[in-house]
Amino acid sequence: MALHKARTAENRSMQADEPPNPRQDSERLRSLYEDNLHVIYRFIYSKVGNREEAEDLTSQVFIKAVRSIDSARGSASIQSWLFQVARTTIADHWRSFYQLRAHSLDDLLEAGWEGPAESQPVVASSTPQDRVRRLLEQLPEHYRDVLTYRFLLNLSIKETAARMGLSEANVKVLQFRALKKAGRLELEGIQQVAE
Amino acid sequence: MGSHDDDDNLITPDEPKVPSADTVEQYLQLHEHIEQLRQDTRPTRPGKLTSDEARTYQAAALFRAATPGADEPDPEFVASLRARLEQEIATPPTARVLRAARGRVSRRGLLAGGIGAAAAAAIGVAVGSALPHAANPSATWTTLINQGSGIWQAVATTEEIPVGGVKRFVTDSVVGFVRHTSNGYLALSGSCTHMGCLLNWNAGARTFDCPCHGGRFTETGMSAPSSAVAYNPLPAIQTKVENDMVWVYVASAPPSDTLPTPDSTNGYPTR
Repeated sequence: MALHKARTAENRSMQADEPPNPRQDSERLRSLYEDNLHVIYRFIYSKVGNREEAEDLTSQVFIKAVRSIDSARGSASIQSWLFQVARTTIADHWRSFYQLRAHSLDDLLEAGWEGPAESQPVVASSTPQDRVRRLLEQLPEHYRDVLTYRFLLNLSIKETAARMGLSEANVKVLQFRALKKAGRLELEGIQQVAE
Repeated sequence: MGSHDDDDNLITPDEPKVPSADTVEQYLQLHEHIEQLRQDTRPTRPGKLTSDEARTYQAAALFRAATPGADEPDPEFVASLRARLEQEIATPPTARVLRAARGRVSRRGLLAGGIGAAAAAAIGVAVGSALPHAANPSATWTTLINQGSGIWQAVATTEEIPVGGVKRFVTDSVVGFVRHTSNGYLALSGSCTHMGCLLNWNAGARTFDCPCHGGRFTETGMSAPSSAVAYNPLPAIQTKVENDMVWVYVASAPPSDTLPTPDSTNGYPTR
């Protein structure tokens, strides 16, 4: 009987948007990171490309989220809210790093945001591997090769140079040009999605 | 062969050319950066990148993330973050608030969205110490636009704001407030330093109130004692009076066509 009562009470408080029951609250927080830790980490990693920063920023995102979830929305949109927190955190991070002029920053944020915040499914549905594959398809052959060797096969400059029959200096030039081109293509892609 | 900017065919595998001196540095910087990414260590990044260069570095991050296995979180990290969050959850809310107030995590999530995003991205802030009308002498301000790179915009006539009065203004890049004080006209950014929600002027309490998480700022832009959490002060915006108008120094308008629809009551675009 007592159990029954407790259940109804729980159901009620789940429906209405009010007096947070502490136990339910911690359940909610727990599922917040259990469900999302990996996906947010990967998202952040795709923005910074290294573990140290990805760990640092992921921690920031979740601590921020746990601290402010009381005032956050219902669990249906928790993930998109988390992505929003992640984007904010990354944008902050870029800004502190790059000291960009305001208009360049906007471009960058657009790029970092992958279009308007509402288009969150884009983020969730495209892995870095997918995006990279799409970019590679659009690149000229020698750009595709150098990026494949350097990143997908994780080869050193020396190994890449040997495979491509280039000098090491030229591999460095080529990877620069290839990434520059890829960065532009990626932006174009984002703009198309946003439209 | 003047410009290297857009010339994809300058170097081909068959016929490599020697790059000119000014760009060699760029190649080497990026190369070093990539090597750091490959080691998974915090990379150095050159400051003052153009947006094109920044995108190049972002592309490097994206490609690095596609290296097989690279973006898999370290189990040790996952475990320790979990433990930390458990601890956080176990902490009573009041203590949480206090800690948040001290921690840097709460500090500047300026870009939560809506017009707040544009506002925050382009808050017109001049160098603090150089300000004739510094609203928050103790505040540390981020300089998002360099002096000389913004524009002056008129936002009010001098007579429309009486002494003690506050007026909200909206430019293409910033939402803020102009106050008429005994020291003249001072301006503050109108977006909360927590998550970027747009603040409302509360004439009764003389505070700027955040509709999102209970943040509150005094009229000088400092975090108010009644704020749910102590946040960083509101950035000041440089002002001047000319031709009986109050002007603010703000960033020139960002390309705003791809930004989410402005929502003046809630800075979160995702609902």
